Amino acid sequence: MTDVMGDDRLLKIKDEDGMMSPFEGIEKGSVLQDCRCFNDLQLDTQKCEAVLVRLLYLVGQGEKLTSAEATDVFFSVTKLFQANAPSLRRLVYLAIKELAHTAEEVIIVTNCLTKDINSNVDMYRANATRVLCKITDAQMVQAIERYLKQEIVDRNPVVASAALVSGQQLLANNKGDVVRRWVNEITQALEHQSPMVQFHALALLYQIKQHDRLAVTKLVTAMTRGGGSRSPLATVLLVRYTARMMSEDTTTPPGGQRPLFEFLEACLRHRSEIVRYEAVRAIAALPNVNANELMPAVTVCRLMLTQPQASMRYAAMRTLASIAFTAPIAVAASNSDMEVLIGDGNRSIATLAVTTLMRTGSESSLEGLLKQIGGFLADLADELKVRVVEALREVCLKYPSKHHALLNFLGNALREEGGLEFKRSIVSAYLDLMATLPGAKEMCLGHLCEFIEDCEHSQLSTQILHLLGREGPHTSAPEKYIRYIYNRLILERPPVRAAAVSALARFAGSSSTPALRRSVAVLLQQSLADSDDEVRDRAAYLYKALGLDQFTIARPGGGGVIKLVSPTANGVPKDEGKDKDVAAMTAKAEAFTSLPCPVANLEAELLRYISTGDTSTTFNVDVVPKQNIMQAAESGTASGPSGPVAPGARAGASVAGGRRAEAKLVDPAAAVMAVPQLAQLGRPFKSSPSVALTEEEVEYTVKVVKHVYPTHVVLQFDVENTLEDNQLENVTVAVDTSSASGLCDVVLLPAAVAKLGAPATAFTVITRTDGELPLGAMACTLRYTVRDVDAATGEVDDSGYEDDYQLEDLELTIGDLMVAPAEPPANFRAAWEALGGDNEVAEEFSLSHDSVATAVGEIINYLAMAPCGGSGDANPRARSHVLLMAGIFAPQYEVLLRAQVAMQPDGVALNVVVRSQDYEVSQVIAGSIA
Amino acid sequence: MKPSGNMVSQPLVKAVVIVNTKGGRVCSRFCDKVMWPDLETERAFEATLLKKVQALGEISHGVDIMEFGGHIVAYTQCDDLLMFVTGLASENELILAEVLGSLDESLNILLRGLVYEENVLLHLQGVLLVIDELVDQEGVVMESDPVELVSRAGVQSSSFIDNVPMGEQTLSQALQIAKDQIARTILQG
Repeated sequence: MTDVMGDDRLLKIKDEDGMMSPFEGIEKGSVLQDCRCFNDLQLDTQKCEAVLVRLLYLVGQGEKLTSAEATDVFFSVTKLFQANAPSLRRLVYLAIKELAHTAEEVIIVTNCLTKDINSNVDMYRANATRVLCKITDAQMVQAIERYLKQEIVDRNPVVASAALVSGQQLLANNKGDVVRRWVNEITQALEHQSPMVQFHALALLYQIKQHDRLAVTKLVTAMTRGGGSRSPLATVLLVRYTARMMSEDTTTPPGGQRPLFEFLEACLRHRSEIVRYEAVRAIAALPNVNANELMPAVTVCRLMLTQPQASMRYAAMRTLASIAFTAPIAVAASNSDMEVLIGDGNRSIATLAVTTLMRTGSESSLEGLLKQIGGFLADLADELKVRVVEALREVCLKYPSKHHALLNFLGNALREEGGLEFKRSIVSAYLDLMATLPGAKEMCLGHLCEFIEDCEHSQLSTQILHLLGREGPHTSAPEKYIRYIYNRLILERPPVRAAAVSALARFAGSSSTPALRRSVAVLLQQSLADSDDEVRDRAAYLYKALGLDQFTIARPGGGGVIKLVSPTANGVPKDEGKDKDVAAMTAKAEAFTSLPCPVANLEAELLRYISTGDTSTTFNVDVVPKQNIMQAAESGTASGPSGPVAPGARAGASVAGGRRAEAKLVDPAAAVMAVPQLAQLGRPFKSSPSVALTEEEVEYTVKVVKHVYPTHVVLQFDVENTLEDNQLENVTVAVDTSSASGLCDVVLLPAAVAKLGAPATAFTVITRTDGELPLGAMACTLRYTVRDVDAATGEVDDSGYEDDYQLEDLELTIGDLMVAPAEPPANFRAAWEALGGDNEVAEEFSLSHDSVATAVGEIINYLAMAPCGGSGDANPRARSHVLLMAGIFAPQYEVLLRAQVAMQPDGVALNVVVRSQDYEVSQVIAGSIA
Repeated sequence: MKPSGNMVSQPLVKAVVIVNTKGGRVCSRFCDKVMWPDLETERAFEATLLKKVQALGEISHGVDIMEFGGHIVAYTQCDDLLMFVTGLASENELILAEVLGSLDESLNILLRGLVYEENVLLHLQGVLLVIDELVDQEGVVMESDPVELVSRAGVQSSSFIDNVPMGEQTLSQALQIAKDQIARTILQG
């Protein structure tokens, strides 16, 4: 059998036919059978090698060996240690490494490996070390420590590197405390002839010392003073360590760390381009680096831009792009070099060049740049196109006066070939631009109208139709858009038609002229006979609700033809009373075309309504909360409107086509509302994210979710028992409210049983006192009755005893009383002005954060308000930042906050201005930050 | 004290991947069990790599670079093979490019300039060992000098040429290489 396989393989080698894989038709079973030749008394080295290679190929292709098979192979492989053929031995080492994680009997090869470590063949020593350290445990390491120490200082670089890298692995896997005793040997290896050994030695030395800041400083200072290492990779390490030291030490400005910075600058002139580039990256990433200090780094990048290797150009371009984010002026000097790269064969480089140029270029050069992009956009992959569009959007916001040219460019791009992602990015760019540049609105709408004339993505069509419905009626010439919408109505698929109906109806709103209303009536009437239910229902509903039927004459004798009063005829008597009706009706219809609450909330409430089974009371859409109650279970919730919403009562059940698959949302209040005693409280105003009240690795872990109601605060404690041999019964959490304000009576709802794998939930219900905000810290104690459980049988012991367990304090903060609005104001300034300065409170603080970005993040977290206009993301290197936030404070106060954060020598200065509908609320919020 | 997750890392390779132009794996080493816990994630990553490269259009000669989803990827094409060396987005791309360059060069030495799928599979033993000497299983760069790599891998090419006595080898070797190359050109044409 094995011979046949061998011949077969030879045949294929000689086969000149080319494309046949030598492993064609290879099977696990037969290979494992072939492995038996390892047991032969007279080992055939070549055959064994061939079998091993086939085994490695199988494993490499993802074939899984069962534990029994792996053990079997392992046993056979140990036999191969008898053969003294280097190439076979190399394969054996590799096989052991690849198979080690599946085999339990690692110990059986340890002996052979230890023997090899002792051997006098360097190749054996090196490889045996690598393998053994990978598969062995801490105890074994001690047994071979003596050899490892010798190997580190071995003259042969293979041996030394193997021992050093193995040392890194041992340390990383917590198997090698002995490694810490090798510092002398490792320091010696720093002087090794081979550059790779120097590199491995430095990495290991740093790994040992990394938690000792002083030792690291000493090591790095000594090495940098000596002019670095002869090894490029070791120098790269030094650059990284140096940059790390400089950024950790934020008290002295970069100038004060002269020797360190000089070392980085010297590395910019290193003979190895890897080191030069690493130094560029390090300098560019330094916090508080100034334009002067960046100049030499940018110069190195410029030189790299003209190199023939794509990797060099890419590297330089990527770094320049990242510098351009913070210091576009510093990069502007290399504009001419970057312009050349727009034609680069590597499209990633070209895209980076374009997007960077947009950031660094002057306003006047923009049009030339657009022309160049137009030439190459078509050949780009979608992903790169999206990046270009994003850069265009940024430029447009930066130079509003150029919006004409930019919008035209985007409009052209919209009509060209491209996938959904690309088109979507352009549409959302338009949406953004419309929100910030009111002057560009009609132009944007015009381009979008053109786009839906020939758009294959219903998702985008519905989104744009919705937008037209919202914006169109308020433009100077609404009639213009009706034609586009009507075209969709006759040409498109049902979801788009439905969206078109809703959009069209908006044009017949209260603000429209009678002539316009009449035209809409004519157009909508056709949809009354649409073949699709949704479209027909919407049309019928809106038609009625908007009072458009006044424009029709009843069908004579129920005939099919609908006669309309021509706009010129005096069919409609004009009287005051009628007009009022129209206004009321349109208001009602409009209220229905836009939901009063987020769709996710409505869905959750409807589901809850159905699940209670009590349908004696009708569902009231007004009780659905208007804030975002849902919390994204996964990060990255889809943004942007998810398409128009069906009117009125049908809304929850059927939402127009185009609705995007959204990230999974969970209702944090679901658990509390499912408890019968608590259900009568209704929905909490705010449910805070879950907070742990215990360390992670303890017997009983407790997490709390705080639910705030108008009259109560409900604390939901999720208790998890991690012990197998007992269970907790009658679990409650007692809280001490004496040091908190605004709280009085406490009622405990116990959880019956908490055992391993079955978490329990206990509730603590606290009544709020009128007129006071529930704020402050509370001590919590977990109380329970413990009963022993027999881990084997699961039998519960009858006797139990009461016990308690101190938890960490729990705190009610302003954030627990604040919810983020479903739609933060698009125009913060307008909202700010609208709220007025009557209840404005300003405060100043100084915080002990070490960067502006962390301070901003913490303020957002603490207040739980929604950042507006992208102001929530501060650049990690920013020296100052303005944060704009909106929130709704319990029970229904609108709150806006403007926070200015600036870096100071000794921390961060924070300047907060709060506006709200109530002076006291403003005061409480502004004062809470300290 | 900063958390250790924030520690400065040495240059690390996250994956070395050789696939054919149809996306079939020839030989891969994934160095991050967290990022790629199982075969499916590995295969999915290989498929994405191939898709991205093809979307970027023609591949220039030599090492190219791209970036996606938190990875920096150095890639190059060798006949019907695509070779990738990837690292985290924060990695020094020139180091990845150098590692890939070494891999490419070593294979060229090992396979005498005939780097294509079938030949790589025929000499998989050497290829596996070269990769093992290039980066270890955790992604640490072990050695980057191609000549050194091939000698460390220490394999005699198992093709029959090597069994021919020294004196005659050069001629028959030259003939064999010529034959191979003609065959490839015809097949490609």
